[in-house]
Amino acid sequence: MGKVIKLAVHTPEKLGLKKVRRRKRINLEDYGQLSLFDQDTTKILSLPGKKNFFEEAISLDESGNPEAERFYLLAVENEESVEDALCNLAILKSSQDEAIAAVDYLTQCLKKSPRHFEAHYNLGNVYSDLSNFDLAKVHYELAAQIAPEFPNSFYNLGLVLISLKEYKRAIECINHYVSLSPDADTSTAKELVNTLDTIAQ
Amino acid sequence: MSEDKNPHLIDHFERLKAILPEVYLPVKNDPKYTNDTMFSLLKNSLGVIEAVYLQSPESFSNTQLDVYSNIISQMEEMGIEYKGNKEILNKAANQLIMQAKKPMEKAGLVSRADLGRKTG
Repeated sequence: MGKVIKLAVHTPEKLGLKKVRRRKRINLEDYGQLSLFDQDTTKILSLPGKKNFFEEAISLDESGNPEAERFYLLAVENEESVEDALCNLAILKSSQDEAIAAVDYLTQCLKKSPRHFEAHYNLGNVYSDLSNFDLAKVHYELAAQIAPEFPNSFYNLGLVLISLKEYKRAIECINHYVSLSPDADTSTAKELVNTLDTIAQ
Repeated sequence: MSEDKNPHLIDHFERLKAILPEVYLPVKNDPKYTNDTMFSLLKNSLGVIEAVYLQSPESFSNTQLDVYSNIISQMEEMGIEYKGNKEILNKAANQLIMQAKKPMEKAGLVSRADLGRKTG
């Protein structure tokens, strides 16, 4: 008779996905080698990508660096986002109380791109600073037509209409601003509408 | 008593002062007199300012318009009746309204689609 020999049973290894585990680090010095390259403090630094003049100008402008103006001019010279650069140059000029230069840059921008939203909106601001409310009104209206989802055009248009004594339309514009800005603090605008309501009656 | 006055009349005037004190009150200490004089001076000064404005309206800065309208409103608060120049007052009021406007918008910062979410 044959003898039955019991073999040791090995549960088969589970097949499937396997997690990657960190291997235990070998200490090279245990094997008589110097661990010259084992430096955990080494960092990989990423070098900034090369920006163009316009991008550089924007970041300088955002940090309030006066060098921004030079970079915007370089952007114009090198034909990089020319319309936007001209528009932002106008904002810088306006903040320096150089309204005429601001109008000049903005009109240059509109010559290249007649439906440039920011140029129309900003021209509205410059003209209202110059108390030219009729022209300010035209540019705010155009800005509102180009970007009807932008609330501030309606607010500023409302203020210009108050100056032009067009109270009914002013109320409509300011109310529209309120409806477009659900997250903003519109208490001043609402107060203004209440005051205008009493004047208009 | 000053020496240049007629010594014979001194007694006479002293007696008059005693009889009619209100006539001989020192005018400079009268508050009504001071107020009237001050108002008249102020009115004349404002008249000069208005004349300068009418000659060259563009020479008036926004600050000057603001100062002028403040003077008129303070006078009104004090109960002094003075209408002021309508054109200057209108300009100052418009300027005050436009000071509340939303700021300029930089181009190239956000996409047009984000504009709806942007409020000042």
